[in-house]
Amino acid sequence: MIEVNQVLKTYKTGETTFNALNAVSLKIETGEFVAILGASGSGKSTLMHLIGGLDHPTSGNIVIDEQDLSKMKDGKLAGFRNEKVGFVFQFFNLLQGTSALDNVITPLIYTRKKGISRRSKALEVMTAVGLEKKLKNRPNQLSGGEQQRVAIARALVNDPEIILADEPTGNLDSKTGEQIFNLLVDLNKQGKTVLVVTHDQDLASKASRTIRLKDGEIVSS
Amino acid sequence: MKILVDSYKIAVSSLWSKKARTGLSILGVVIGILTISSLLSIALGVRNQVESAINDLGSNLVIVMPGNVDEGGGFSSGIGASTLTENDFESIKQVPSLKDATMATLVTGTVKSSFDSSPSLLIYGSSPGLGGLSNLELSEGRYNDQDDENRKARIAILGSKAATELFGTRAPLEQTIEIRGEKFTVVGVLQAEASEFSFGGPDLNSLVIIPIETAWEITGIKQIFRINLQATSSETVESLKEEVEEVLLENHKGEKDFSVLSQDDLLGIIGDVLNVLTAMLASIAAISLLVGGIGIMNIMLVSVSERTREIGIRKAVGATSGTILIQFLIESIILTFIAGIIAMIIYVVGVSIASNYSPFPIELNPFVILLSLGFSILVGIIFGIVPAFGASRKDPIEALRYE
Repeated sequence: MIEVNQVLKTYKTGETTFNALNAVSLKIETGEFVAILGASGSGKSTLMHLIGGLDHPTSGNIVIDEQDLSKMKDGKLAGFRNEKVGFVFQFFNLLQGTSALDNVITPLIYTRKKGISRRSKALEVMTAVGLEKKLKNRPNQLSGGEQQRVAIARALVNDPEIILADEPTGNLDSKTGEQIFNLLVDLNKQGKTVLVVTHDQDLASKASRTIRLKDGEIVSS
Repeated sequence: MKILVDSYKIAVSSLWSKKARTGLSILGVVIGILTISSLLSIALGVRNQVESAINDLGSNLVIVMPGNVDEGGGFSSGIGASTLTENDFESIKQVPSLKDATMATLVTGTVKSSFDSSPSLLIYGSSPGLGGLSNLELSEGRYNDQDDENRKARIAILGSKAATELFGTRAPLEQTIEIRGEKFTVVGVLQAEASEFSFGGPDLNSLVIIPIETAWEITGIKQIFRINLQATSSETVESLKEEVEEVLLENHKGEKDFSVLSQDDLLGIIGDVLNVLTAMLASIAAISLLVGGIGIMNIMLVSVSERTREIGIRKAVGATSGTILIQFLIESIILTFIAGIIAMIIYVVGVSIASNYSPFPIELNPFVILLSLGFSILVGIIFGIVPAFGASRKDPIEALRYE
């Protein structure tokens, strides 16, 4: 379960301070498929980053499976990102010059879990996303949809409970976008908690729940 | 441990993807390390050479020189009119630890034969006994003896190089040479000494030895430039020194205007000079390594900045600041270690070629090789730590947004 309690996130640019998130509270149960909607600058990505342990809230706290992220030191937070969550980004964020398979293996380099056969695990998730024939290809030899599949495979490789997807279809054509979205729906059906930030109302309607953000505050959930 | 292996793989593939840049930054360090190692081995080579040259002079030797070396004047304190006298020599001859003694003076001048002339030979007036005292062996003929001294005989013994310069391939024995307008007969030729090197002392192969009485007569000055002594055994070298100092101090009314040096003292004095020289060479070479190191730092800073997004991605999937630091540090260490290995290959090849042409022997020195490899790693750490630290401190969200 994900609990967000009175989270405030403030960015300072010179003299002006900007509240990206303003006293946001919400609960997401394990196994939910939540779409987060909102205009750009509404704080969607910030919320996603905080839940994923990429950043600390200015105040308030985030508790995931009874672990308070705001109390974790950087090293422990890195371990949390490695084992508990899998990120999928709008711009794929794959390592250029590295093969698809090695991209998928990357989280396993940093894991503290023992006894994992990196290659076979990576092969397994690459097959799950339908890219078992593109293992050696580099990101620039793959289409946008394929790159996003690699990114999803990477997010899955260490068996996280939560998938955090920040506008995963934002950089894809609508047909490919839908395929990618369906992949996330499948993952949810397999038991993963999935959070998707999106602009796309149609895709959002596939989620079990929709949260709307405006100016750093939740307007409906 | 696993992270080191992974970091190594990541580093190699990243370096390999930027071959030209990698190669050039390696080159800078190669030049630095090569400069250090070659200067170091030259310095060590010279030191070995000097030490063996001093040991080759003879065994259990003690040398008395005018001037006080200890009081900071160094060897130049002996320049000028000598303070040593024939009386000193006679007194020294009485001390118990002495086996043998000769006195010597230097004559300046050009040596001529009927075939050639040479201004660079060392005309060395010596009392009899130099052959027994030093390691200078005759290849033919004889040394000067007391009879020569009494007659102030015009005879000379030539070093091998002196013989070649004056007579080429001709047999020098019984030939006539001319010093300061006087004719001398060559009565002996010395064997070639392996080491041509001399440091403050005579180049042994360039010697032209004449009786000291003769030298005094043709120069008109009774100068003693040096008294060479041999102790009865290696145990008595120190007592010989003390006895000689005591006798001479008495003769000189308590004024220490002379130096009594054993071979060990000579090694010590020359060793000090060589240490300064070595340190000077090493610091010059260190500058080139510094430049190479700055090149590494520069390239690593560029690399970190270019790979900001990669750092963000790695952090997002679970890399800690520590693992990022290790990854980039290993990358710079690999760069400089490769440079070290390349430098050592060039060093080994270079030394084997140069040793054929060098005037003094250059040896392959395992100490130099180990030191250089160690240094290359050190350079990688020193100049890699700042960029690596910068990489580790990057904020993952900022890094992921980096274009």
